[in-house]
Amino acid sequence: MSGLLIESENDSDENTVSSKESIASRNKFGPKLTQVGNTHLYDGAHEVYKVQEKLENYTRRLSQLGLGLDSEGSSEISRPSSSIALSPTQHSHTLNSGEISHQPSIHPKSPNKSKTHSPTPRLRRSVSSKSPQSTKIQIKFQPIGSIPQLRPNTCKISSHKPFSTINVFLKKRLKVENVFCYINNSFAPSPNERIGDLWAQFKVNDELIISYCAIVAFG
Amino acid sequence: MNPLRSLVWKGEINVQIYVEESLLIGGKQQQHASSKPLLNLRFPRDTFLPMYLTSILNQLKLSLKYEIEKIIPRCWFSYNEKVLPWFLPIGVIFDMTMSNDIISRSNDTIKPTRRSIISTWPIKLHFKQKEETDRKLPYGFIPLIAGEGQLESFWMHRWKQACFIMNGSSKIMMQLARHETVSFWNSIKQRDLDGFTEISSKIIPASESGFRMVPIKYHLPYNNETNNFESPIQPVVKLIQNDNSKGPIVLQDVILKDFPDLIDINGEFKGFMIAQGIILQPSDSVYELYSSLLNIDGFLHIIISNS
Repeated sequence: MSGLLIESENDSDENTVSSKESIASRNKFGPKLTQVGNTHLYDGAHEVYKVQEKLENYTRRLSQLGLGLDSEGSSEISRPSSSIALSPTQHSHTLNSGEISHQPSIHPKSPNKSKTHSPTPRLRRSVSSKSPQSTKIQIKFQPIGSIPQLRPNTCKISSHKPFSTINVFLKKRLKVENVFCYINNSFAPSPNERIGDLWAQFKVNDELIISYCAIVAFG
Repeated sequence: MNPLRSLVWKGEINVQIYVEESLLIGGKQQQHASSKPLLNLRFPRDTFLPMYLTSILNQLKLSLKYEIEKIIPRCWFSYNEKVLPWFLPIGVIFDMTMSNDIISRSNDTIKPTRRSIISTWPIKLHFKQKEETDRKLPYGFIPLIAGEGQLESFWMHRWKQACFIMNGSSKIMMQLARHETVSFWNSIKQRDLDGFTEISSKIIPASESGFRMVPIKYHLPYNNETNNFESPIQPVVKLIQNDNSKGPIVLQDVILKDFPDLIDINGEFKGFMIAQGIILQPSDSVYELYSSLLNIDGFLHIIISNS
């Protein structure tokens, strides 16, 4: 619950920052617009809004003509650097049913630009400074059976890493060929799950408890 | 039983199987064969690709260069040269790769035609020999070394995880009798909805208030820029309102926590959410969605797109 509250609080902050930044990024559309912005921004709030409105109209017109800023670039500017990059929609390959039978190749090397070009920015997960996604989280290791104990038995790891990182780390530290990891002595997470998400859902006293074993412990 | 469950359970996908030329007798001379689909199949949405692997290879065995037992642990499926995650239900992978197609068809105002209704999914079967040194196994490839047993174990762990999220521990799942566990897995293999519902209803809380959290995974559509599919996002979703407002928790409430950009300046939701091939509405109740559209691994998989 607290995680949700923290996220929602920061989301609003981020939106504010994001909107300011995106205005800044729009100023880069052309020298003429930058000049207009610089001249009037100091004249008062009313003038600022007028400039913003003009910029927005200009952006809209550029989008309609398909001449807008590269969406990759604009999204990079409007998001904090800690954001987790997610899927681009501008490169998504659209397959209409029936196309397949007419196309001998199913793996085009480069997507069809006329179909895929879109001004839609890349979708990104919101990451705030207080959320577990952007920080390091604490993990407590517990051995099961005859496998050696890790010393120290706690460590911190970046929350955006996949769970497979833990597996690799344990194999390296313990110098074993196989290691089976479980959360809260219950289940083995999927190797591609983010550690931060697991921490948010299964933490005990702000620690993610991972048990490890040389053989299968919980089938 | 919820009639939607039955419709979703019966959902199927048209799949075209292409095969990498090096896997076929004749090797590179078979280039023409690898550019055509060798099999046209229909898979139930709520199953896993490895369940059909032996059957696919058996149908192709006269054209295959290697023995089936040798191929299985070192083969993978791809879509547009990206490895498909075999551990996700087929319908989820389809929705991730074809989300644009699903969205554009839903926007189609023209009278539907055969072309606009029938959707096929072209996927390619690959294989890499142990001895091959000129190429590596693709990033994200998880070998199926233990065959179906590996898939069953993976699936069982997903249910334990979902059980923990819903109930605060995996106790219910761990206390299932051996015969119940076996019949639960068999219900997936034999496409028996009643058998599946009988066991899953013991794990899923009977009412909205019984949920500690809802097991949901968000996926982002197929990404051309990365090597593979993005890791899923597992949000913390509780069915209790933070403020004093009554009414159910709706999808928009939970999605905006992770994706605040999906709302425009006018306060309108501008994204698309897809589950089981269906475009969801932001006002849909999360509890109702979970009850109707949950996948065979106990999670509700939602594909989120802003296109």
